[in-house]
Amino acid sequence: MKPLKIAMLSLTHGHTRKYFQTLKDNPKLQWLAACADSEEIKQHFNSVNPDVPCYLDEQEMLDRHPDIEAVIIASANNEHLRQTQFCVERGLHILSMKIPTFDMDEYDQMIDMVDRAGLVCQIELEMHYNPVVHRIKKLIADGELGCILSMQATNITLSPVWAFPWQGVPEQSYGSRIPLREGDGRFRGGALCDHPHIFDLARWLTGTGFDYLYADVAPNLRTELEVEDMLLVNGKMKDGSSFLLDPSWSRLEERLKIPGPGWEVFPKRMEVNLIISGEKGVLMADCFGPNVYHNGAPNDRYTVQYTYFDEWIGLIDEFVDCVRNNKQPKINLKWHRQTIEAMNACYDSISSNAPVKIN
Amino acid sequence: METTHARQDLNEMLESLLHKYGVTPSQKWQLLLELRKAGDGLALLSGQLLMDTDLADSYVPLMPWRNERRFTELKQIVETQTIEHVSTLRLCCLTDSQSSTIEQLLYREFDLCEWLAGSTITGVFASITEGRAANVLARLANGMLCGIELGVALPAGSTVIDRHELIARRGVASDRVVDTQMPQSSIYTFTANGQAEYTDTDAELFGLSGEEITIVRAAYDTLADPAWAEQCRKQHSRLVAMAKLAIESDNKQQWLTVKEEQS
Repeated sequence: MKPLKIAMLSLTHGHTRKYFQTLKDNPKLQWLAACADSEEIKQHFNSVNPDVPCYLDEQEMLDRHPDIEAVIIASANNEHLRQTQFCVERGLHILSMKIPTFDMDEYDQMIDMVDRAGLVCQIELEMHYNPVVHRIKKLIADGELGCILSMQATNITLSPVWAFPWQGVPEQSYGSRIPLREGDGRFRGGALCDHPHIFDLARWLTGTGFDYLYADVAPNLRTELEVEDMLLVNGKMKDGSSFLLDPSWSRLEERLKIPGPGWEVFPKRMEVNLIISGEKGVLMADCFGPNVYHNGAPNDRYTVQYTYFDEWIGLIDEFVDCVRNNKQPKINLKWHRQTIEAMNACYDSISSNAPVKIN
Repeated sequence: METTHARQDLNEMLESLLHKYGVTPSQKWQLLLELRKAGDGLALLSGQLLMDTDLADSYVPLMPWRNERRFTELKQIVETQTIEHVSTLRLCCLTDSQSSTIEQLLYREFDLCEWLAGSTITGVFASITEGRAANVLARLANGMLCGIELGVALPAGSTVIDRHELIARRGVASDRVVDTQMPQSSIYTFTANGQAEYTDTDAELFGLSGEEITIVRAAYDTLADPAWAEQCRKQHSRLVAMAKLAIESDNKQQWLTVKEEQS
């Protein structure tokens, strides 16, 4: 198979650096170029990827590399519509970060333009390529748990806002400045916007959609933020199973500008854990465990050192396969739409203090 | 409640504790491990067993979990401001359907929520499936938010799996080790007889199970401080009402406020 010629845009998303190794190593790819959002980001990129040309202008990048076939849009959420349009007009396939947009009109525009152009647009939800999730899916499919009664899931992390400031700016993260609720000084755009995975898993693992959601926010751990950092989500799926989701930034962090060792204040920086109760039993899972531990450099603090899995490899493999063989990725814009709708419903529920139905 | 000792043994152990510390109860008493008609004097038993009963004056509903060492420490961590400005409580309790009902788990976790938070629940939203799994959000008067995950879908005879985590602006406190999913034990043995685990937390009551220790300790506290019995009765009424409120919330699919008479 001919390697797919690929580029990255913006480089401001928290997941940007997770692609670097895969883009270099995967023989199905040829990483031609990148385009940075600022000179500062370009300099950092050049320091870790000296062999990949980096530009500050998207059009210049394409002019210099007209054979680019696909791009990874690694930018702030409010850039996604414009960049999707930019790519579609140039016939470029798209691997988009996890939130295409929270504006459902914009979302439908994106579906329409990608469909019309006949391009692949895959959404980056890496949990679909996680081996623990594969095992969970198989155990459920094999009937080990029977019908699912309930699912509890965490997608809790430290806050990335100090390294990726746009994630704390309502207009850039949520797309507009909307108060969480009357009398609350915070706005939509925080931890919830960072954590779609467990909403997606609830749909994928149960094989059904959301019926209704109820969400509430707790006092922020980081009082400086104008977006929410602590919230919980309750509700039921269409099959009657109940759920409780925690998509909070509940793990405190050192306020590093560039993520790296010593980021954690709490020993464990991230967790996606599931408890699924079924008619025949209960499953408990840590999607990123087990790990190793140290209390060494840089802060001599007890730290959970992740033994990362290979989600990014599977994700890229699928993307290349879809482009080359004209297939639709599992996580395409249409599939992902209800997840975004459910996340919006959480904000509406916080605002109204009432459950919100999903149609 | 699972026990390894006869009721008589536990009553004798409680008696010896009272004697050791010079506590002379003002009236007759009896520690019960199951609901039955009370004889003369006070009948001391877990409030979870009295949820469906009109509370006669002779019954004292106990909240024995408050005597678990881990919960005592968690409460102290909050009260001494070892962690500061608690934002969120994340509570979880999974059992089999023989040892508990969802209503009983709601009773226990609502009490732990209020006791650890040092505040009262003002409203709840619950989603419950077939009386075997429940997920609840509770809002407290001091602004904290609490998520409660409950289930009775473990196989019969399973050990309780639970977690109590308090997340604050300064620090996190939990009864579970970081990066683990299951409760730990003090001792693990691997012998010709197979594997076994032991967790002993009370030398004075050595040999009792964790649940037996806490019920004896809770009964002792009540007998040592008669005023506490009245507090227990009031809290029991609140907890029963809040468990019913959670079920009503699920039925109505509504956020429901705890009424004034309940708080």
